[in-house]
Amino acid sequence: MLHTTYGALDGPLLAHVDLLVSRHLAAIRPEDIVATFANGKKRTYRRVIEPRKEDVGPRHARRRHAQAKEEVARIFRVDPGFASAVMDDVCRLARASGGVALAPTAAVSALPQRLQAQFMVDNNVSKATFQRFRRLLGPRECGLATAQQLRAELRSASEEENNKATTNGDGVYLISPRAAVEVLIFYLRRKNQFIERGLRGADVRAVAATLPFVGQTSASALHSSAVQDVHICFGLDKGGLISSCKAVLSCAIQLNPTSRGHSILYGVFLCKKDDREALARMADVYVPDLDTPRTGGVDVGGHQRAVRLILIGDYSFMTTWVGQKGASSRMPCLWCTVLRRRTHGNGLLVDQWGDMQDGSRARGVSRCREHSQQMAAAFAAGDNARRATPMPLEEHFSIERRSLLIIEPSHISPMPLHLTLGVTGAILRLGIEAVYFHHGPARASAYAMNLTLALRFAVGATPKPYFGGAFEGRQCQLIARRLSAVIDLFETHAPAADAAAYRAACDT
Amino acid sequence: MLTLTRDSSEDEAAALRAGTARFVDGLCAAFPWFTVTPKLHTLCCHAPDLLDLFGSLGRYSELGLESWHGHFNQNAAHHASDSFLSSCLSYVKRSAVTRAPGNDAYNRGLKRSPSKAGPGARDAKSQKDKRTKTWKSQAGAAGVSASCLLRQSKDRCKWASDNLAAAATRIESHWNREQEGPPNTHVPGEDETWDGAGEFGELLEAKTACLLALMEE
Repeated sequence: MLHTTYGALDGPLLAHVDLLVSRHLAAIRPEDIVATFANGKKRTYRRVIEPRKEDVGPRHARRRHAQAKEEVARIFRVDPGFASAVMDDVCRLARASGGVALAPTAAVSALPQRLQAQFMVDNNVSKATFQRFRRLLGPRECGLATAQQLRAELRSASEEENNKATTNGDGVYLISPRAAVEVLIFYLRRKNQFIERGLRGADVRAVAATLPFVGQTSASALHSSAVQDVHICFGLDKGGLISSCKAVLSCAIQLNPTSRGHSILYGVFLCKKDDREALARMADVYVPDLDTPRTGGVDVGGHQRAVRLILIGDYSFMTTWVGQKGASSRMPCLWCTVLRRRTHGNGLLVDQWGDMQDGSRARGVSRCREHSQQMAAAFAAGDNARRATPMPLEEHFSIERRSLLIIEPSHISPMPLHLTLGVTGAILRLGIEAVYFHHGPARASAYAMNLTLALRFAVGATPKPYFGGAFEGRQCQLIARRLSAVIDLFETHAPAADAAAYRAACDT
Repeated sequence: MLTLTRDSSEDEAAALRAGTARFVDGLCAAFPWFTVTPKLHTLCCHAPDLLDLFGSLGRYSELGLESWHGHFNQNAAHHASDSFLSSCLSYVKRSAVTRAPGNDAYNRGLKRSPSKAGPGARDAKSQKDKRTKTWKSQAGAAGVSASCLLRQSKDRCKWASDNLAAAATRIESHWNREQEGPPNTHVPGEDETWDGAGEFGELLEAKTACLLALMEE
């Protein structure tokens, strides 16, 4: 408009006039502005003030979000989904940093810098190599970030609440696991990988979770199945070349719940043994932080949801965590009160509380959270052995120390991986035992050697003498798929009745 | 069923309950020294209950937890520091930063799908497609060194002797508990393989098989 009206003016002068007019209009804030176009048409622009509430309901917020998405997509000529994702990122960063986010002022043609930085770190690409790629592709055209930009992006990312970590001298841990879980769920929802799942009722049908979560005072209290929740797994395991305990949080209701990339490394503690003392030091750090989301819930798409915490890990870790002395205690089961075996002196106890050797008919009395709470209170000052009058087995049910985490027994995972590892090893060893039982050590030795050859050449799994001769998870599945080779070998070494029983068991 | 992360059906849940019960009870009945361990008790008595409650067991597996050990072993060297603790701090921070997008965000294009490539395209599915080192070596491909073969052989022998020792302990303790000696009265049936040379012959046969396998490789 200015160019046609003031044709005698050049570019810089026009820009100056433009600036003056803009400043003048901003100062006087006229109600109406009338513009005349080159074709003689007049257009009147009127200032309309539309009140906007800061706090709006979810439906109103969704409508605004849809409007903003459409507008931004139209202005920048990009896909509405992409515009929405970028806006979500900007808002989340603004919330995390406590400031106002900068809206993009041009169409986004390159990969987000955060994604580039994450890709570089995740794949162990050095900054020098990354810059070589950038130079190869053309520094300006390719849209790849410079080394300084990547460094700044990583620095700002590590200062976000969900990524902050600290140390207490014993180990390293995230400061806010709740924020980390919320961000994880945010990304899962954005990738359409978050799956709504609830518990099942007595009729094995899913209970519809419709009630909102309003918070709870006790972390260990169990909310109703009808309350909207998320299933968060918490596990701890010792391992690695340099022995250390890793604590991990993961969201179970997603497409790939066991993927490492979809879980959160909560902390790493140095420890040679995952004994009671070491776990107690870790619990002092982890449990208060875990109680926060258990009482207050986590934010999922703008709504608070309850957290259903599920304990995962190996048997040793979980028994120690709930206050038992491990798998060697008299009532070693985490879920019920069955005794290990009937002996000459415990007949009455076995009759009352169950016998593990009854196989599938072994039914002890189910453990409950209230009992754990009672034991935690009773052993707050010290273990059962240190009490003036130690509790009998019928009262403590082998929980002889303070529970480090009060949790509903039904929320302890049955260790699917360790069950697979344990059962595979037990089946193979049972064959050797059977041959030893019937034919003695020399023939059993021959069978064991032949078994290793069968495993190596017929199954494709090489036995290793480490970790008690256990196989890895995938090898266990391989052995299970090709178990017929093992059974065929067993039939040539053992009596027919045993071979038939072995085959029947392996076929299930 | 232990590894599936999808929702199980009612039939699958019932099959797991029946199958695990048959498995444990069958072994208890057939092998008198067999002991139900806490894990087997969990498998047959509680895993089906938890499957009924949650709808899946694989979702609550420890696979993701265990995989962090390997990742740590592989990447800890990239976080060199004065102390192991500060190295861990750097590792945890970096793991937190890289966590969110996952692999999906890094794959912006279509993945190669051999099954859809049409006839004649390489589509390895069976055991003998030489995708793993084991099957490659069995197919005669070079790649496994002599020292590696020797190591594997030693590992197998050690594994066999370790398991034999454990089995011997178990059976001896069973005999002690039952106050009975080894049953030397077993007479092999006609359908059982039993060479005339007796136990020593079996051992010899196994050793020969080992040597032959090594020579074949």
